Amino acid sequence: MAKNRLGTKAVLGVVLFLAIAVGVVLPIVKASDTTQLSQTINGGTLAADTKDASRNTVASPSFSMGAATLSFDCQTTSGTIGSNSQRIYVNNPGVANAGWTLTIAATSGASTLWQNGGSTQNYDFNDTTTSGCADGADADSKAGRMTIDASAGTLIADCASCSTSNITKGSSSAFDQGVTDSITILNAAAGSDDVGRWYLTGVNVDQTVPAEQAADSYTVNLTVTVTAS
Amino acid sequence: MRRLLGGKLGAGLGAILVLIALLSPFSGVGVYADSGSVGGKPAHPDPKNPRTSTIFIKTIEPGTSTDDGVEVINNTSETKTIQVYAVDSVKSSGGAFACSQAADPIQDAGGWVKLSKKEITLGAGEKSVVDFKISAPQDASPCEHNACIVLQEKAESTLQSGIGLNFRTAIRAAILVPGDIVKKITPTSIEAVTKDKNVAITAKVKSESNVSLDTLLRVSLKPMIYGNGESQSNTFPVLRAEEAEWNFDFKRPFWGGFYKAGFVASYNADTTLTLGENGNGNLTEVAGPAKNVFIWPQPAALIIELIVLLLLILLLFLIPKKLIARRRVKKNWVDYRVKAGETVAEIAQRTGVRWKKLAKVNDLKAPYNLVPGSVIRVPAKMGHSVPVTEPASPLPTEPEVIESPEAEVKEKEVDPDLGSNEPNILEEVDEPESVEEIFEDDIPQEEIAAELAEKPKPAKKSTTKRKSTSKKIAVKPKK
Repeated sequence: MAKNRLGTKAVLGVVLFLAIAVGVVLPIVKASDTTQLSQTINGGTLAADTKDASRNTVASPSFSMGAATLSFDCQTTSGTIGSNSQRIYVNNPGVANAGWTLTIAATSGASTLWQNGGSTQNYDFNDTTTSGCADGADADSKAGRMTIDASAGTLIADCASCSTSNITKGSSSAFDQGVTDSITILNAAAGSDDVGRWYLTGVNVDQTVPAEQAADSYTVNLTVTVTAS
Repeated sequence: MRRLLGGKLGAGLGAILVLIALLSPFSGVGVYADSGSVGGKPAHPDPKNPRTSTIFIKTIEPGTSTDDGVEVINNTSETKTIQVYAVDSVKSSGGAFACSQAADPIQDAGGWVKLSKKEITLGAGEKSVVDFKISAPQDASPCEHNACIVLQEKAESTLQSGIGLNFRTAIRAAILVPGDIVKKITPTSIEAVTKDKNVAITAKVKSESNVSLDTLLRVSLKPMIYGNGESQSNTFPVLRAEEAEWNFDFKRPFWGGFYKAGFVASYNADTTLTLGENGNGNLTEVAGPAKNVFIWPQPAALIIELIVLLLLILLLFLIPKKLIARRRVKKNWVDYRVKAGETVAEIAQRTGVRWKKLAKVNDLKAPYNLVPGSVIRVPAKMGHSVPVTEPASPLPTEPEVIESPEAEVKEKEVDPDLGSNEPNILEEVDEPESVEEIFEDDIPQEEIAAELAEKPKPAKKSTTKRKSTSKKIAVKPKK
């Protein structure tokens, strides 16, 4: 019985030896067959994207605002852009040496509105009159204002040799049609790392919802742009 | 034993196997992959101007045009269709450079750019150049006009509620129409706000230029009283005729205090240079306004500072009290020549002060012996106008017996035969307790009387205990 066990262990030892040979020795042997190795590293591109914690691109990133109940008064809902599972990434593989900016704006431009599914109900995102509670002099007849505060967010350098030095987060700003159609999220100075990868989470978003806004699910699309400057 | 060895051997080999498997080049465990992005860059940068590898910089006379191309790159692992379009530039919050949206009407240089393709489909890892032409209209004003060439993945929105995000990469196109070029930057304001562990300083400048200027900002936060403080500097583009602001985060000083925040803006005012060119590198420096700010100390520092402040207040309260007491002694006390047999306690009793005070003022140390004929200071109150030569009242010439005045006497066996060899009770008196006690105001007569009335209590106690020896303790007569 003991001999059988020893024999089994001997077989296991041989198997392990072969595993080591396959895992370690074989690649070395294979490499020695190669007389010349070639490797091409393609230059990357300055880019921004939403990725998860494993750095896989999130196909359709979306962020929820806090739920609100129909109110006869103007109210504010809050949300966050950027979370651990949907990180706002910026990659600069050495192509924006003089700095870059990361900005956010409404995809459909300054005339954008929060819309319900059938586009029958809506409210504004860039009307600053009475802090967004009343309709102002802009082209639409809707009230509502969105404020974005990147300074509340957390910026992380996600590479071995890069840091967040010389990258500043934007101040809290509200969209104001024709005045502030784009809000700065990050501003990298010339002194920032030329090669780096960073991600941002926890950007605060406040939206003023006008009084008596009909109960429904509303959406708005924003575009994040990274620009070499 | 074999079983044990075999078990350990098996476990050890198993661990090695797992380790090898993890470290094996065939393994992808523990290494994150980056899924890549789409984007682009200038296809034909000018080697004389390194900045052109990042952005398009063109000088175009009105009515003329120039050709260039944008290299579109798909760094993802999938085939992507990428939209390529040109838009106007727009000022973002804080004066940063941004690009307007595809839906926005084009009113400036965005309309001068004509791309050869509106979209391009690239396989994984592929890249391709999309050519374009920039044409400046005849009536283009002499200044810098900015446009953006945007690369954006074509995607359908599946958003149900909330905020949907789209991403794009834009390349700035700075187009200079030559003419009277003005380069001037004026620093306008500075703000400093304490935020948790940082002090956020916002420096603002205003451009009176008709071209954008790379501006070096040096911001400092210096203590107003002592120390060098800290400074930071960075170069930012200031867009033409715009006000711009930048935030600098300084580490919040641990001890807090009054600080001065200031900044200097530097830029190359040479009008012959285009964006990205440095010339001789001489910069025009303009100092901005400074602001005095009070920075609250960090919580730990605040506690320490409060404790120190309290101690200082106490000290400031005690020192004058001590000085006043000394002045009073100097002013109101008179010289007195000690007679034979007089003790400190006796004189103190007569003059109406505590004996400890009398000893302290006259710098008497234990055992507080008085030398007959020596001069000491005593209060000149309660009718005691004590002359140097004569005491106010006749003092007994014989050694006076005092029942432990204001002193705790240790319980000791006293041998009556030892007589004058007995230790002086004052040797066993506790040292004065504190400065406050010694220099407290002179005691009213009634209080002294009450104090003296209470004296017998400890004396009685000690008398009872000393039945076997002696009822009284003698003070040695002074020679």
